[in-house]
Amino acid sequence: MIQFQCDYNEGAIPVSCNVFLIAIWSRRWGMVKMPIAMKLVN
Amino acid sequence: MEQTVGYGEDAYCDEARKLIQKACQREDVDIHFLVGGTQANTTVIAHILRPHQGVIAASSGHINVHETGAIESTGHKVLAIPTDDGKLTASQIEEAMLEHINEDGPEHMVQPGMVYLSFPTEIGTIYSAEELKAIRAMCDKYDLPLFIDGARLGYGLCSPECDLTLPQLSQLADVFYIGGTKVGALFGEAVIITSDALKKDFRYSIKQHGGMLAKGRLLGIQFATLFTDDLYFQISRHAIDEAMRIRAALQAKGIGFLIDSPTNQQFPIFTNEQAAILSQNFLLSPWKRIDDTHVAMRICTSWATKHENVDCLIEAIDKL
Repeated sequence: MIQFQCDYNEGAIPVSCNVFLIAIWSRRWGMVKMPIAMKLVN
Repeated sequence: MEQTVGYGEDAYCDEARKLIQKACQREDVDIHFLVGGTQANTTVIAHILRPHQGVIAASSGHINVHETGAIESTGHKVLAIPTDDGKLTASQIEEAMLEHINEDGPEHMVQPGMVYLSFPTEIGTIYSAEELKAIRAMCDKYDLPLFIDGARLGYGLCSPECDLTLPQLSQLADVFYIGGTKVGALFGEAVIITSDALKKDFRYSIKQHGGMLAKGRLLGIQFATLFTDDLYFQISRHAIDEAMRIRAALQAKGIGFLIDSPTNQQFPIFTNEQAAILSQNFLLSPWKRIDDTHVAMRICTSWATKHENVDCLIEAIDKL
C-alpha cells in the first residue's frame, strides 16, 4: 500500500529515526549525533 | 556521552535559534521549541488570552475541527467564522468585533481576544501577502494579537502561488510557528514570538502546559539541521513538486476538486467506484462525502513522498 494519507504518518519517519532513538537510550548520542542528524533528513 | 543543560537552553537549541532568526531576518524574536502542533496551539493561545477571552478562527480551522477541544479545555472558546475556502478575511474579523462591541452588555459574551489562522489552511489554501496585510491591519485596529499556525509552513511558502516569504511572515504575525513534525523532523515545532508584549513569561506557559522537553537538545538538533543549507525549503519544495504532478494528472483526467489547493494537500472528488479502485493500492483519506455517489478524498504528499510512487498514482489515475 503506497501512502498518501498524511504528511506526518509513520511512513514519513525515516528508518534512521529508530537509530536516533536507540542512540538516545544507549546514551551514545553525542558520538553519533551528526550522522544521525544527516540521515534524519535523508 | 555528551551532557548538556536541559529544557531547551542547550547549545544545540541556541544554534537552531540563531539559524531561524537568520532565516526570518530578525534577531529580536524569541524562539521556543515545542513537541507538537496541538501543544503549540494550546500553549500560545492560553498564554495570550485573558480568562474571559476567546480566539477568532475559521470554522474549518485546525483548532476548531481537529484538536479535540484542546483550546476549549484551557477555558477559551474558539469563535468560529464560516468560510468557503478556509481563509478568514479582514472584513470578517471586523464584523466579529463589531458584533461583540455592539452587543447590549458585551460583558455577557466571550470577548474576541486574538486571531488564529493557519498557513496553509486546513484545506490547503494559502493567504496572499495582500490578504495577510489586510488582516494584520485589522488586528492592529482592534488590538488583537495575530497567531499563525505554521504546522505546514514550508509547504505553504514553497507553493508556486505563494507571494510571501518567511521574513515577511515574521513581520506580519505576533506569534507563529515553523512546523517540523510534518516537514521532515521526527517531532517538533519552533514557536516564534515577534511581539515584545507577548514574550514575557512564555516559558512558564510552556511548562504549565506540559510542553517543556527536558531533553530539549533533541528539538534543537533537528531544527538546526533543517535550517542549514536551506534544507527545510528544499524538502518542502519536493512535496509541492510531487503534489503539483498529481494535481495535473487529475486535471488532465477531468476530475474535479473540492477546493483549488496550491499546496501539498489535494482534494479530488472521485466517484465511489474510482475511490474504491485507488484505495486498493493507495492509502488516501476520505475527507468529505459530496453525495451518494461521490466523495472528496485527501491526497497528501510530504518530504518523504517518493517520485516513483507518484508515478504509480498518476498511472492509476490515468486508468480510471
